[in-house]
Amino acid sequence: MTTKQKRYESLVQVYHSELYRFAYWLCHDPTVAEDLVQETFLRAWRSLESLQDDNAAKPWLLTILRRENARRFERKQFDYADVENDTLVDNRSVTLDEEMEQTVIQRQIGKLSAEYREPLLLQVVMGCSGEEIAEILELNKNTVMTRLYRARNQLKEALTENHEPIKGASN
Amino acid sequence: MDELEFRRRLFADPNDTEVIDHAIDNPEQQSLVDELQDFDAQLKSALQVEVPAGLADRILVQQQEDQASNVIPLAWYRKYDKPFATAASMVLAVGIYFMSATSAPLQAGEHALEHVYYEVNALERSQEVALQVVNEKLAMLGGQFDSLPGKVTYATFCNFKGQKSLHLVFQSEHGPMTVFIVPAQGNEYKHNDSHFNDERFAGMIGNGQKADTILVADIGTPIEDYHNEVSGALRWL
Repeated sequence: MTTKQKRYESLVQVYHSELYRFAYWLCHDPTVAEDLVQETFLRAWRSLESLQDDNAAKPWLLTILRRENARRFERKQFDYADVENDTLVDNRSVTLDEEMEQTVIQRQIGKLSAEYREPLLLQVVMGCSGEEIAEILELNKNTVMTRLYRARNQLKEALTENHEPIKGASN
Repeated sequence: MDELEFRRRLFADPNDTEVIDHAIDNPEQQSLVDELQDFDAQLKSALQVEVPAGLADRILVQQQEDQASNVIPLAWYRKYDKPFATAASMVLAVGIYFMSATSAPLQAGEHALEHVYYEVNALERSQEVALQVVNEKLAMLGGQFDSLPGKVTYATFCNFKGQKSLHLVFQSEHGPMTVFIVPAQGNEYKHNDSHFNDERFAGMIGNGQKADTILVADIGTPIEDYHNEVSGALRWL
């Protein structure tokens, strides 16, 4: 097996699960999420030489994945994820209470505007640092931190208000 | 760090070590840190969707197919630059002449061996593919396996001489074995002989009710026994 092949296989092993979850919450569709992850890794394979440092692999892969996701919208303008009518995912063995709570949290995250949701997903699902998120989203770090603050603030408010939908959330 | 900054930074990142250290001597801030960390754990768990089984394997298979389809033609173009183009086209012409003149049918056995070599990496996989996953694929050809004589480590659809077929690898006591399930309808290859081999592999073709079962294994293994076992476990729905 070549070094390139070994390097690639370890990237797949390390990152495929996280990337799938991130993709899932971007598109809310397991099939599309899998396609996105497949396409991301295929592109990563084809340009693996351009990844100089394996420590930078995560933001690099995420940048590819976000670009692939954007392409999907170029191809099919109307294919928006309908948060309200989403089929929510089965979350392993959890009690009914926990499941309901998780469903409520998922809905509230879905209601966040994309500019708040995406940095939050990158931080919570992908474990990205503020710097990495800034690099991936091409924003400065202060903006990222402000959005993360607002994302959690809105979520906490929404979830403590007895699961009422947030109205007139400030921007 | 004033109260406002503390709050902003904690909400932006509940694992910010500077913020956590800052709260150590302040019980009120400490409890807010705990609250936000619990909240993050809740978020994380709500976002923890199940990853489809075998995803990593499918990603690697796709890459290998991509490599096979890209690297080989590229090497061709590089090797044969202009002066060779004429020669190449003559070789092609002669080749076509011989193919049409003799109309040699490609032997199924030869094709099976070529196929095994082409995807020879598939033999080295060790991660198990559940029988259920195999059966989901096989169902598309209308069949089902009750069991297989070994752990399945590779299952994918392949083009077998123009026929969509199922390509399996299982790990037997005699090492990895390849099975092709090729629907009988419309397959164009000929098999005059049910046994075939080269210097490394041997194989056997059996005609089934709806599909041919082709088994390829290392030379010297009791192929007939395994073939019987595999085709015996295959049911058509």
